[in-house]
Amino acid sequence: MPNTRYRLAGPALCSGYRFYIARQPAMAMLNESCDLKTVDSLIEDNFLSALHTLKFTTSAKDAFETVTAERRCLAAKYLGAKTFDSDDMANLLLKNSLEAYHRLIDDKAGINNYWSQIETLRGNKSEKNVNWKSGLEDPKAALQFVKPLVCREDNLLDCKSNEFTDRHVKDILDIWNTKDLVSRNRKVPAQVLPKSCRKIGSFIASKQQSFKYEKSGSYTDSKNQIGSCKVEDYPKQDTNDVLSLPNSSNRDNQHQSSYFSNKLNFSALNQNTNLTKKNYNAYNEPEFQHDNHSAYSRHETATNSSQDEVDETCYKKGNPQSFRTAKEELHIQQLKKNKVLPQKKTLGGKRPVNSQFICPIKRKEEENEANKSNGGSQEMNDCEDERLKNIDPKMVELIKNDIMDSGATVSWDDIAGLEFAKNTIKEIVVFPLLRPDIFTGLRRPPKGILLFGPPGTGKTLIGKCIASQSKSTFFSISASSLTSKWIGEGEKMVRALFAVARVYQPSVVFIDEIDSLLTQRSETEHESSRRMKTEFLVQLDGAATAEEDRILVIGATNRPQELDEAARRRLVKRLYVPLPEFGARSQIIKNLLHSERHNLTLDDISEIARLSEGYSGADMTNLCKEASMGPIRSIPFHQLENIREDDVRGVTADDFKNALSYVKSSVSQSDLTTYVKWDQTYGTGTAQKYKS
Amino acid sequence: MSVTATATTASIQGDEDLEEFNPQAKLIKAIEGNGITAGDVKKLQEAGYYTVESVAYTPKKQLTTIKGLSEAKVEKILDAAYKMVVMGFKTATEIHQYRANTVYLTTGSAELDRLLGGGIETGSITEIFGEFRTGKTQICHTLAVNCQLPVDMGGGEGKCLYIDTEGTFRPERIIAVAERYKISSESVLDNVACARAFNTDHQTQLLIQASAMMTESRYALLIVDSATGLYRTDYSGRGELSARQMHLARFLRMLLRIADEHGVAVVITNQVVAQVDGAASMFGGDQKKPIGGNIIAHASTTRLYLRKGRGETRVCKIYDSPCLPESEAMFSINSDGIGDAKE
Repeated sequence: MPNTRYRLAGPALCSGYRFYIARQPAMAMLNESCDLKTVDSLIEDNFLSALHTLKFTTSAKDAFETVTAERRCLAAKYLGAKTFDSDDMANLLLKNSLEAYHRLIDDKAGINNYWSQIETLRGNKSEKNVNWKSGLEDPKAALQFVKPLVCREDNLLDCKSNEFTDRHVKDILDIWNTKDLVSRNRKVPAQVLPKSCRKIGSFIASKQQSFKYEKSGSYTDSKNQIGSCKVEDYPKQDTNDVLSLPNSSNRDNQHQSSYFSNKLNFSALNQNTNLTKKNYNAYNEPEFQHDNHSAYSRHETATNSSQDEVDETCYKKGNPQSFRTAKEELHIQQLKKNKVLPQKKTLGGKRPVNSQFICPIKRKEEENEANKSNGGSQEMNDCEDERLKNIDPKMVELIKNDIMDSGATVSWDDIAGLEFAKNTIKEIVVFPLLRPDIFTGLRRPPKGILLFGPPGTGKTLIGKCIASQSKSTFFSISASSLTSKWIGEGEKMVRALFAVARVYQPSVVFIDEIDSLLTQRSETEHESSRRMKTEFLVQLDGAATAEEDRILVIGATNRPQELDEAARRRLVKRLYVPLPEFGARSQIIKNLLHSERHNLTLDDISEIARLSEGYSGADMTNLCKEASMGPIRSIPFHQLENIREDDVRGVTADDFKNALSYVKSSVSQSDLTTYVKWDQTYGTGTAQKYKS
Repeated sequence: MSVTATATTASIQGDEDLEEFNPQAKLIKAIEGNGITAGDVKKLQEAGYYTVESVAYTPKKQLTTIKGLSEAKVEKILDAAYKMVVMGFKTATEIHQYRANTVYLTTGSAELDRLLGGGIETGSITEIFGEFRTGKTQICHTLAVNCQLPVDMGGGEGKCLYIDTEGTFRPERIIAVAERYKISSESVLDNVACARAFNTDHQTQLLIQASAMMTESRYALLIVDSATGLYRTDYSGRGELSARQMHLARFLRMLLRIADEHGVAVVITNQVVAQVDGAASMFGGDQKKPIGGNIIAHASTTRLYLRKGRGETRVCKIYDSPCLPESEAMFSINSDGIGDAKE
């Protein structure tokens, strides 16, 4: 609609005139820059007749056209007065007519009809809305955003007498160019428009930012209105159909404010003429008028992007480049020295001189967090430093690698039989963890357990079970993790092991095949292995060990008779892990066949268990494996490729009987007697009853 | 409301997030409202007043000289500023508590730190003077790195602002010192903002910028390497003496204001002049006197006199201090900055 244009230009022009009353050179510029299409044509004809035409056609027109006519009359009147009479007369005339025009503008029933749209949008949020004004009434409020021109401070008359020539324009343009901005001609090309829009946007942005601080002043009030209208409208801009009118009202406001922004920028630079022109031409951009949405979106993007610009203008005082970071300084100095551009290697961008402080040292919390992710909790790390102070961090690292964080979970039920051993270990390992207050003094759990028995009876399995069931740190130690090619390192490793275990207590140190580490000390052995043994003994129970340390050493061996007697003493509980009994054996078979298809009855299982007397747990596993191969072996080879899994027959008792002839017990009866004898001497004496 | 002039550990260890810089001083924006417009605030900023404190600490006479601010407006601004800044009396207990929390920046030498009662005090001006090759600039370079260290390592957890008037700033030295702490020299260099001052007016102008920058990110140290060097040549002879001293006094006053507002440590170096007349020369005593006269002597809180020792060692003497006893300490200039003298 053609009215939009006038409505847009109206308030802006109006306020513009108002500003320019006081300023003669600016006035001259306005004359120069005013759109010749509208005003000059009026002057060329008899302006009075034009005035009359405009004036008398106002009746029976709508409010917008009235305002338009009024404005044109105003401009014509002013120009005429200025051309044919004195400037003072023109100003006086303009003042009066502006007041009339202003009343028109503010009339809520007339041109100000978009107010109702805003009101409906705003709903009943604030009572203050009723006081909405165009803000043109109070020139002081507006003028406080405007700095006086330099010439005005000196003498008004001088300015008045100044002739405005093209040379002045050129001078100003030159100044403008040095300010590192796009050069502007009088005919503003289209690409200038975004720039101007950006100015507008920047002003809006700054306004939006600042109106929260502003509480007083009529101008501020009106600005607040604009800002709040905008804020409300922003989320809805996508739905343009509803908001076509409010949108245009926004644009109106923006233009008004754009004028203010121009004034602001100009007063700062003392070159208000250029922007006026530019702004004025912006109105006449056909694109600007027709393409509402694109212009609006430009406004929007500009609002965001130009935020920096505002900041810059706020903070750029004097010479902005005087401070630079030391890195830049280094670069410059190197340039001076070498005369060649050094290879510039930057990753992650350059930090500007006044970027935020970034501590070059990692903060303590971050370090702790990093440590936490490495597996240690924070409180442990706290005491770590003092206790591991004297130990090589490398060794600590090596030992920490031996900490087992339960791989496969093994429950106590997975261990068939061995009830006595299981109960004893539960008593020593699990209960004190649950009730540390009861297990004190005499009831304090022992520091060492020795598990001995024929091979393949589940000593290691018990270790695994402890690892997964006890909620303590579990170190799985073998000779390899403690010995070293360097003399003296082995002892230190033992020491480190116990230091780390102390830090991470409650902890369990499980040493499989402990006989490799703690054999009987003899004259013939190497001194280094001996030193390691003694160190081990000292650490296990020596002068330095504290009563309240909760470190449990579990050794597993099948040659208990070879253990050093001192070690034997320190491993207080010596538990015999016997061959599985009848019940245990059938349990093992049941457990192992659990996942297989079979057609064994309970009688079959007990029969097999009876026949496998003297087999160890490992032997039983072997037996079951062998038996499970039976069905596969019965399949002819040529069928093996095509046969379906379901067609393979289940494991039968015959398979087991066959397997029994292949798999023999790995433990001889004579071996067992040595264990029993040793158990009688040193152990808990439980072996006796297992002996059949 | 605790507007403390010193960088307290409380403010450092508090809920302060390093990403979210909370300047110790209140930004000038805070006084907007009640008849003080954004335009007024902008005018104040243009004149170099970026914090409420800076306005409150400035005499009215000076504020009225700001272009565009009427006397009534200045009065209004001052009223608002006084309301926000506590400038009344405090008990000695309170002050003692603040002082107990004052951060001291380590110099890198334990001996020197002991002499200084912990290091360079934040929130006050420390003047270092001595002949050439006595380690003034080296101390400055070491401090530029040390101020970035965490508080528990003797730093201030802040950036460094370096105003160089003699052209002696060498980033290589910064890197060398950073390597001593095994920290990335990249970030250390980024945390040092340096500017070369070319004349005394420029030097003062830089301070205005400096106070603006300090409102934006956390600074712990402001170094003016040779605060007086340019004055020596910009003003010559007795005729310009009073002008020089007044200018110098204004400069030092600004430094003190910055130290108060932002709680940064201010380290300035000073040159010396030979005393050719008087009794000292006749008996072969120490003939060096710091320049700047009484103005600088009164302005700086702690004055340190550096003297060359044997080899790499230097001797630091407390020349003037409100609390430290007059004594000496030996330190040495190593490749990685200031350190303890090796026996």
